[in-house]
Amino acid sequence: MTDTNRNEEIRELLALYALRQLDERDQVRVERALAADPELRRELGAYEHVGARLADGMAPVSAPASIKHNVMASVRASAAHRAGGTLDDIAAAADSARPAPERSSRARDRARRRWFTAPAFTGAMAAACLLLAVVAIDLGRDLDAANERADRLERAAESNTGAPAGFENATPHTVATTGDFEGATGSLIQVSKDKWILAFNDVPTPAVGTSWQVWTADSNGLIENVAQWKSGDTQLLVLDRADIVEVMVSYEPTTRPAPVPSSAPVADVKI
Amino acid sequence: MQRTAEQRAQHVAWMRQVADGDPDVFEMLYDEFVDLTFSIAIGMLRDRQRAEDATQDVWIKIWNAASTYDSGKASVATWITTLTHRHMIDMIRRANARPGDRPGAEAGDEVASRMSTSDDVAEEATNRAYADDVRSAMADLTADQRTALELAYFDGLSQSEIAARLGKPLGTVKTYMFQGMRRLRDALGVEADMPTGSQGDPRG
Repeated sequence: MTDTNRNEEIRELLALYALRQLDERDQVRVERALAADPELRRELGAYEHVGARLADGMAPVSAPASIKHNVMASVRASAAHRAGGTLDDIAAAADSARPAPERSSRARDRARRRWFTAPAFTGAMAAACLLLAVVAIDLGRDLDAANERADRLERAAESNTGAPAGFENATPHTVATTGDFEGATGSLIQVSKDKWILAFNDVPTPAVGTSWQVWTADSNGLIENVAQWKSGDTQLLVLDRADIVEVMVSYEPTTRPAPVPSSAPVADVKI
Repeated sequence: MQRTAEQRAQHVAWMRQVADGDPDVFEMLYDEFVDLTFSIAIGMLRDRQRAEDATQDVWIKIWNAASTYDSGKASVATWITTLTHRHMIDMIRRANARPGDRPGAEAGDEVASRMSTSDDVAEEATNRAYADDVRSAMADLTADQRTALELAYFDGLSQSEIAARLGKPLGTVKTYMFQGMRRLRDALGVEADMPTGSQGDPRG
């Protein structure tokens, strides 16, 4: 096949790639081509823009406010964590995402206790509790006090509204590391039925143009890319993975994820 | 929704601040685009509860992935739409691949149930009101191209599912989708060398 024919074939595949219609083999071919050719990346951008124009045709539906409360609780807790905040800062940040009308005078004084009883916040609260545990375990700050606090928060959660589905499996799993990750310490915690927190400390910075990619494997052996582990991050929320049996981190020679890991995992946890 | 150049520039500035970890700016970004993401979610999943869960997950992804946004490749709106659409496709396919999750369910039932939903909000969300230029471009496609694209984009069907639905060979369906996308791209004036999100991007 000539280069011209090969390029034309890749261009045809690009349109299907934008529609998420390629099998694994073709997806790998396209991603390799994309990594090497900025012109193809621009062309993919054009197809993605076409998709966005189609999505504009969806009838507009207003999102319910409850989504915002949950999202902002998680985001504010995450931001406080990233900023190196104390456990109190993180809990208060998540707490601050409560709906404004409910945060007045005495209610605000009791906010932390009552926060655990609000049904809309059960998931976010559980995530925040476990985030506290992760912080305590992985950052090694004031471990005894932090663990005691995380335990207290967790007990409070269970005693008020009952644990969300899957919360009973919340014991951290230790991540085995090797190679470049040998000095890193990691753990995996199940937050709810299909949500997990993967936490690492001391992850080495990948070389320019390469990346650490996070993957999950389910009981059918299906391996899916979750996200790129960004330099400086200490935790990653893994969403919508209900029946996974393994979480892995691999070295990838590009910053774009391939359909499957291209090398043996440098970090691995079996559930 | 069409946005001005100033708004698009504002969105790019917000994304930089979100990538730096600013939750207040993230909240502004959320307020600006959440209805877009929820509309895609409910339009594709056709189930309000699942759409709410999926929208929540999408916004956590946006928070985690903000630093990967490249303003030279796409507008913020296109980037968020693409991320949301991919998440919905993955949800639909994962549900289809796990028929055992529901007693007596078989592969493909998920799509069938979404197609026959009685949820009023979901029903309404499947009504498509394309912008004039998109409607005109869609009208210029052949019926098979249009159907294949809509089943792929909105319903998340795989090539083989679309082939079965249309009663056409797999290769023919691939051709419908490729030709349809290329014709839409040309008709909408989206050139390969025009970075989306630039001045020429009417969508923003």
